[in-house]
Parts: sequence; C-alpha cells; structure tokens
Amino acid sequence: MKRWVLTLALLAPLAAGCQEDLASPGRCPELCPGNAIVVRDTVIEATAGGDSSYVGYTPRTARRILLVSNGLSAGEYRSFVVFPKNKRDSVNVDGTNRPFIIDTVALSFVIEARDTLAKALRLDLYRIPITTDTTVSFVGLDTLLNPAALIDSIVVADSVKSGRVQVAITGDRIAPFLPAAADSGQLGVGIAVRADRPTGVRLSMPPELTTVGAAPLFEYRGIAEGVVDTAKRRQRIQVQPNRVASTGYVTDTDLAANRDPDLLYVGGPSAARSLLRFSIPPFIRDTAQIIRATLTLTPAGPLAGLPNSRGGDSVSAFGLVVDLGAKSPTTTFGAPPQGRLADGSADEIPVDVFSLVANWGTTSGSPQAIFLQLSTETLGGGFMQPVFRSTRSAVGKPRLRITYGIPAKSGQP
Amino acid sequence: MIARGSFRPLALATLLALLGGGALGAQSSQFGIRGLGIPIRPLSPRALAVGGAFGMFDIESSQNPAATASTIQFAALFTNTQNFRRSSNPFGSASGYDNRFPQLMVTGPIGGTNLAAAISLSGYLDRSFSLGTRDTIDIRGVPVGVFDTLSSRGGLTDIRLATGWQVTPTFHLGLGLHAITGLTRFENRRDFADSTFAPIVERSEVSYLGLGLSAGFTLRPVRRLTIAGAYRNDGHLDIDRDSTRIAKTDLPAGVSAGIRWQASEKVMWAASAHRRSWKSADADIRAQNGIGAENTIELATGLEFVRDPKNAGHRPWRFGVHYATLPFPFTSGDQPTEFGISAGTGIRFTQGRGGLDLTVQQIFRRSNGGFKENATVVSLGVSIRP
Repeated sequence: MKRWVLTLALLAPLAAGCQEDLASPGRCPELCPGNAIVVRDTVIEATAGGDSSYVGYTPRTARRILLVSNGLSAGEYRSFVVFPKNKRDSVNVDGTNRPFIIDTVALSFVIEARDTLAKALRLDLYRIPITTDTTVSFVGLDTLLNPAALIDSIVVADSVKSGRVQVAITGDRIAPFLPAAADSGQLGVGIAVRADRPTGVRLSMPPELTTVGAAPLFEYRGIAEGVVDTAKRRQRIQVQPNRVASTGYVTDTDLAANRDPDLLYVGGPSAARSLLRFSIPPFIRDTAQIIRATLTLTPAGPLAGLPNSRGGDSVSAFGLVVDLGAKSPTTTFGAPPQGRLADGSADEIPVDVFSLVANWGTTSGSPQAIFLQLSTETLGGGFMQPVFRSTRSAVGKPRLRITYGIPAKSGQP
Repeated sequence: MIARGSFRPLALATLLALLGGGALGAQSSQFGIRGLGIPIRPLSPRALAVGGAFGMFDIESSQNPAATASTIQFAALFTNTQNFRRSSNPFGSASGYDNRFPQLMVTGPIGGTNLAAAISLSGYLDRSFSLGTRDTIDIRGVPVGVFDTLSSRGGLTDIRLATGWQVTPTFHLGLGLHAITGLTRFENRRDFADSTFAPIVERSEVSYLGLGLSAGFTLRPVRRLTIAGAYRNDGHLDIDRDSTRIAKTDLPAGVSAGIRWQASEKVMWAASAHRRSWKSADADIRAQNGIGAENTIELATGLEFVRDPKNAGHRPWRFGVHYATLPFPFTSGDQPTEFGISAGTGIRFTQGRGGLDLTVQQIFRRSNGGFKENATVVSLGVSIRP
C-alpha cells in the first residue's frame, strides 16, 4: 500500500503532461526582439544562350488522340482509323454460336474537346484503304477524303461538349459500311470535320487497345437466331482498333519542323520541348528563402489553338534531375506547374514554378533549368503549337520573377 | 530518529528519471520576451508558499548553499508547475498556460563528516513566448496580408553543485558552483494571405553557457532566531546561435539576506531580501540591439503554521507575499515589477519517506506602457527520503 502511494505521488506530476500555449499579444516590430523578416522581389532573365528547343519526344505511334479540324488557324488536321476484321455471320449466346442477322451498323467515337460555340458540328467518315498507316502524309490522307469515299457523318448535337457520339445505319444504307471482300473484313475510316465556323475536335484514342473504354468502335447490331430468351435475342458485335500503326492524325502545320533557332517551340506533331537555364544569385540561394517564383514566357505571336474548348491548352514546366541537354531526365514529383495558353492571345504567359525553384536552393539541389512541354504532349499533342521568344530575342526574353524573404536572425535579446 | 543516509546510485537514477519528464524552466511570460528572459526563483514549493522567504534556509531550494549543511538524510525533490496566465498590453490580450519542471534536487550528507552536498537543476531565466501579429505589405506592387509568428521555447538552467559545512550546530557555511546553461529554440514564421506565396520559416537555436560561484552562511545566534546571507557571482554568459558565437553577456552578482523566527513550536516567520546587479548586462544587451537591463531587488515574507511539531511537514499552512523588480524592460527606463501572494500546504507519508507539497501563487506583473499580466501558478513538489 505504501509503495502504491509513493508511486502515485511520483507519477502525479508527470501525468499533468506538457501541453502549453505560449501565446502573448504583440505587434512587431514594437514588441518583437530582433529584426523583422524582409521580403524582396527580383527579376532574373534566363541565361543568355542557354535556351534551346528540341523535337521528337513522342513517336507518332504513341499518340492517344485523334485530331481533326477544318479551317482552324492552328492548322488543318485529319485522322484515320483501321478497324480489324469483325465477325458478322454468327454470335455466341450462352456458349452456343447462333446465326446473326445484321440490321444496324454503327461507328462511334469519343469527343474529348471541341469548340463549344461551334454549331452544326459533323464528323465526316470516309472509307480509306486498310493499308493506311502512320506513314501517311497530310496530303496523302486528305486526298483520300473525297466525296466519293464519304460513308456517312456523325451529327453532333450542339449541347454535347464531350462523350461518345455515333452514327447508326439501318436498312439498305448498311451496305457502304460493310467491309469490302477484298479487305478481309477490315474497315479503314478517314475522319474530317465541319461546322458553321472553322473548328476542330479532339477524339479519344486510348493506347490500351484491348479495352473498350473511350476507343473508337465499329459495331454490328442485330438478331441472334434461335434464341428463345427475348432478352438475349438482340445482340451486338463490336470491334475497336488494335494496331497503333493503323490509327493517328496528320496535319499540314508543324511549326517546329523548320524552326527559327532564335525562338522556342513547344508541342506540335514533332513533340517539341524547350529548355531554359537560369542562374540564381548565390545570395538568394544561400541566405534567403524563396517564397514565390513565376516564369514569364512571351509568345512570338498570337497563339493559335482550339478556341472555347474544355480544359483549354497549357504549357507544363518540369525540373531536371540532371542537365543533359535534350536528353535531360525530368523530375516527376507531383503535378508540374502549368501556364494557360489562350487562343488568339499574344499576352505574356505566367507559370508559377515555385515548386521547381525551391529545389534549386542548395548546391546539391536540382539544376537551375526548366523544361517546357505542351501539357497534352503525353496524349500525342494538340492543336496549339506555342512559340515563345528566347534569350536571343530583343524583347520578351524568358525570365523568372523571384520573391524571397531574408531571415531576421531571431534570438536577439 | 531517522538514520542518516548518504549519496547512492539510486539517487542519481531517480534524478535522471525525473529529468526525463519534461523541460526544465519556470513559467513563460510576456515579460520574458525581452532581454534574456524572465528570472526564475530557485525555490521549492514549500519556500514558494511563504513568498520565497524560507529560501535562504531551505535545503530543497538553491538560494543559499549553506542551507545544504542542514541535510541529515538523503532527499530527492521534484517540482512540477502549472502556469495559467492572462497577458495584456497595448496590442491586445491573450491567455495561455504551460507546464514546467523548475526545480530538481538531490541532497544528502557525506558520511562521517559534517559536510553535506546537493546537486540541483533550477530554472534561471525562461524565454518561452509566442507572439502573433498581422500586417499588410506590398509585394509585386500588390498589398498582401501577412501573419507573423515569433515563438521561442527554452531558457537558461542553473546546475548547482553545493556543499554545506556544519561548522557548529548553529553556524553553517556553504559553497556552490553553478553551471548556467540552456538552449532557446526560436521560430520566426511569416504566412501570407495569398497562398501563392510560400510561408517563410526561420529556425535558430541559441545556446548559452556560463559559470558562477556562490557562498553563504546561516547563523542561529539565539534559540528561536536564524539569520542567513549569501553572495553569488555568475560571471558572464557565452551565447551561440547555431553553433556560432554571437555574443558574450555579463551576468549579475547578487547578495541575499534572510531572517527566520520560530515564534512558537507551531509558528514560524521568515523574511528575505535579494539584490542582483543585472545592470552589468546592460551594455552587452544594448550591443545586441536589446533594450537593456536594470538591477533588481526581491523582498519576501511569509508564515508557516504547523499542526504537529513532531511531523512539521504534514498538513501545515503556509502563506506569503513577495515583491520583485524584473531586469529586462519593454522600453528603456520602465522597469517591470512583480507582486505575488501565495499559500500552500503539504503531506508526509510512509513515515516521512515521501512528501507532497502544494503551493498556489497569484502573481501580478506590471510595467509602464500598459503591460500587465496576471498568473496563477500551481506548484507540486514530490520529495523522497528513502
């Protein structure tokens, strides 16, 4: 008993814990010892001659989108899809092959982005040779998309901003849709677009060609003969593209293909990227704490893209793991900073790159460089191919605006 | 009669175990913002209950090394303090609380001699505070709201090794060696109303080291009266920020005197006075952009009513008051003051081997310019005499 009392006596104060609230009313600098934190702002231009553009980061076979346009200032785009052989004489119902009577043929695509102000949007579908692949040129494909080859059109309601759209053919009009005997059941489709104004559409073309998801679909719909269960009599057989070399888009505009060495290119069919290098003064890196960093890019001219589209266009800024020029590996921590690109605008583009510049603070930190790429590069590009002024430009050089705090060296009496 | 004990490994183990319980120091205060902090009185709960007046005679306090000579058995003391305060100044009011362990001590006689020794860890100065302030500044040509927080945790600790000598049963001498050490962690933070600006956070550690000496006596010229005196000089303090020497500051010398009168078997009265020459730190603190420092005095008096003279520590009543000036002003020439009233009691159990002492202080601190603070400080002391 006595030991218990002694133990409790010892533990009682400890049980009281160590929570604390040290708040005192005050206002600096009247009451605070030491100096106040000083906030400064400075602008640093990119290292002269240290910026370059490179191309070829995304092969044509890696594209995950289809681009089609008509009269768009960003350029003309056409797309193509080759569907593989689709069995159409029988269908398997509950483990038994049944004769299949086709009454409808459908083609469908998933719209990712469109000009929401464009009215009477139509996707024109043309039969093209099944041998069409990613080696086709814009002129070569465009020539194939002539009135004689027109199969039908998908009429897109003005209210549809995104999602799957289709054309379904019934009756006698099915015939043009059916693959020719010489094509071994395969169907090649070229895609163009038109509306009440110059416009464009971005269609989904997922790389996972074995899953339905958002892929283009070629469907036969009809009746399975001999099936008693009426709920199972109506069947559909669908197929989607299964060869990456047999899908894609072509364009007549590739700004980076013949690039001006004094400008910086991003995006486009060539998948261009631009590398910027900076030199932050040691005073800021060693002594100050950077609290905001904004990269300012100046377009070489008005930006041209798909207007009024969901999500719009943007340029992404990546840090480097190590500076190896064109082949520099980029950092992959979190979402990269992005700058919005507005169609028709030549205004400066601000990109908040604090998350990148914060890693430049130490001598062992990341290289003081930023890789620019189109945010949709991983999809295979986009309509917009932004071109920016470089350090060799007379005005509008790429620059960083850095806001930083200078420590107060607290601890003074 | 309890047999005399002496230092044992258990004693040190107990002390170390108690040290693990939390930070050393005393209560935080807005009056610890300036200078080196707010001074801590190295007193046991029993001494605090009588305003500090027993400190010059109390073996569980660290004011007078000669008091150590009165030790007749090994004892360990551990003190826990809960501090609840309300601070106000021209910029607003705020309430706060904290928990500290301001006084740890192990003491015991040295066998076969008239000597006794004590090791104690006491709060010396506390510099724990947190200040918040709002403002608007122009960044990139745009007004941006900012919220600044300056916080400090820590302070200085006095580690004392004291020896007391019973020259005669009525005359004791003592000598103390003091190591004044400690660490203050500062965090200076600025948050922005515009979240596109990252917070600025500056952290630094300021460490201190100094050495001091103290000497004292107690004398009982007549049966009911005891007087005491002590002198202490703390030399100077080396101050490092993040391992870099930034300053050297003189610490004060001080003289103390005390008187204790045993009015009857059940009533004891005491008074004490202390003067410390903090002005010696004035030039050094000003050189570090501080406001400065002033000499201080402390006066204390109190009574203890004992119920059972054979077990004096069991359920007594203690009352006291104290008045002190504080060394570090908010503005030059306006020296803060502190006035406190206190009361306490205690129990002894297991034949006096264990003890609990409880003290409640109501402290009022004031300074010109509208600086006020009312604090309620609850101290609990645990003593062990194995």
